[in-house]
Amino acid sequence: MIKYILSPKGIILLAFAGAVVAVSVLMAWSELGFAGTLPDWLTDLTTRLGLHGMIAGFFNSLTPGLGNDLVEYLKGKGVSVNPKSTASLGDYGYILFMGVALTLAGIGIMIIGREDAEEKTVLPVKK
Amino acid sequence: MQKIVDNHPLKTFNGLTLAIENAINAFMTSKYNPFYYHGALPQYYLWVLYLSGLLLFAYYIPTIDNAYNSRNLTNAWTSVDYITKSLPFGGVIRGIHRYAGDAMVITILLHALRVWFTDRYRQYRWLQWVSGIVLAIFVLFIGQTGFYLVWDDRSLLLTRMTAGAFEALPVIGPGLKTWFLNGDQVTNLTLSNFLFIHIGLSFFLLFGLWVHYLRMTRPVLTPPPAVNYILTAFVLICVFIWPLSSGNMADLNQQPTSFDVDWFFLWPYAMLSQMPVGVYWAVMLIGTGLITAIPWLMIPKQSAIETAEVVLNKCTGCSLCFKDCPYQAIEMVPAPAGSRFKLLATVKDFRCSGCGVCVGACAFDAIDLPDLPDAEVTSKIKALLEARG
Repeated sequence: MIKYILSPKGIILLAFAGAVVAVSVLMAWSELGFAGTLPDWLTDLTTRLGLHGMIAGFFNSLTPGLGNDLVEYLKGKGVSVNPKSTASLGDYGYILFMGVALTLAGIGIMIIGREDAEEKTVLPVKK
Repeated sequence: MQKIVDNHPLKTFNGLTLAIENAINAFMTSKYNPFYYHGALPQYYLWVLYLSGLLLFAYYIPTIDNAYNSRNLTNAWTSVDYITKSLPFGGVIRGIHRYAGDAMVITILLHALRVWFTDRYRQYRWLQWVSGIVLAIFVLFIGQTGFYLVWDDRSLLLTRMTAGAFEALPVIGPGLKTWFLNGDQVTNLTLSNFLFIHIGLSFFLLFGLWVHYLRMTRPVLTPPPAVNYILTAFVLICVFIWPLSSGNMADLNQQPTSFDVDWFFLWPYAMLSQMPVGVYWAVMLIGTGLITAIPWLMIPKQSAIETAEVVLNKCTGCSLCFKDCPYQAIEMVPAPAGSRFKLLATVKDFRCSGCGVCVGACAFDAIDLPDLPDAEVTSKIKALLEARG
């Protein structure tokens, strides 16, 4: 098992797995408009595990100003939302990370599926 | 039937196409090479357009002056504004709809170039070429009606340019203009008509695709999931990089004089703005005619190749060649009296392209290309394999 994990294929798999988890967390965060507030489900889960202060504190320490560049970019591109609506600039962030996640997933499948797709040339034997 | 001679321009294009495909195969397997699904790529985007369009349709109001006063949405422009700014994910769904359309045009062009360069567009495949051009024209017009539906100042200018261009046509012009505007001038009924054309013609595409597939035995309709992921990601990332916004609401009392050109769908309007309308129609009609006639214009001056021939006393009627033929050129008929077998393969000369697939399919040496015997092909393949080690 450890030998497999340390092999090039295992490292690629781990890297993709980590990327998928990271992008998934970023998608949920972007859906909140990069506001720096963690989703309720994460708070609830960490409270039940007795880790609330540790994990939420760690993530919250990362968030100040983290999404500002994306938001400023979108505003510069003319994106605006009705202040009274439930739409947010985070919709666009969500789409960006979804696009990155799909790209990583597509490339990952292509790399892992490479061996399966190799064809053998077999010359037919005529009767 | 005729084949491409060595010095024909298509031979160069074919070599270029194959070189690009081989380069892609070098870092991904052929299973995921998008060029091998070139016909399925636009169709995937068609499904994306249907789905995203359905979501937009739920909130779009096709009027210009408050015919349906719903949720303070007074007309088409405000409903699009509501979708873009107030509806959760409305802005990105609108962006997906727009960029999936652009991506569809790109993939249609790639598809057309590949079938042209690899010489798969003529002879028995003329129906695919001609139906493909008709489909592409419909896609272009459907996309343009999408730009009218936003009902900003660009929509108004495009509507007036189109009505003027139609009106200039002899005989059918006035009727076309009335059909297009759903009356003599722009009214609420005009936008209803645009919406009907946009959606109705979109479903007509399915009928057109049926005709497009008629002479293909095994059309590939869906790319593998990994390719679909990349196709979707391309659109999503475009939505982020170039988010959509509308212009000012159309005002019938004003005449907009310029507009941003979307080069995928609005290039005909850029042409129309630069030349007299008569010249525009002449260029468009002659250009379309030339592109449609390519299958006949590009046939090289070369003696006809011979079509496949069945060796009657060897054919067992197993149907392998019938199943493998990509051109439906093999027909299984009842074997003559006295035969040990029930069926016999026959070749329809007018459909056969001399590709040799049937020769490879036959396990009994019962079908051959007279000018390229099976034994010669097998020896060439062996030599190539040995040369590669």
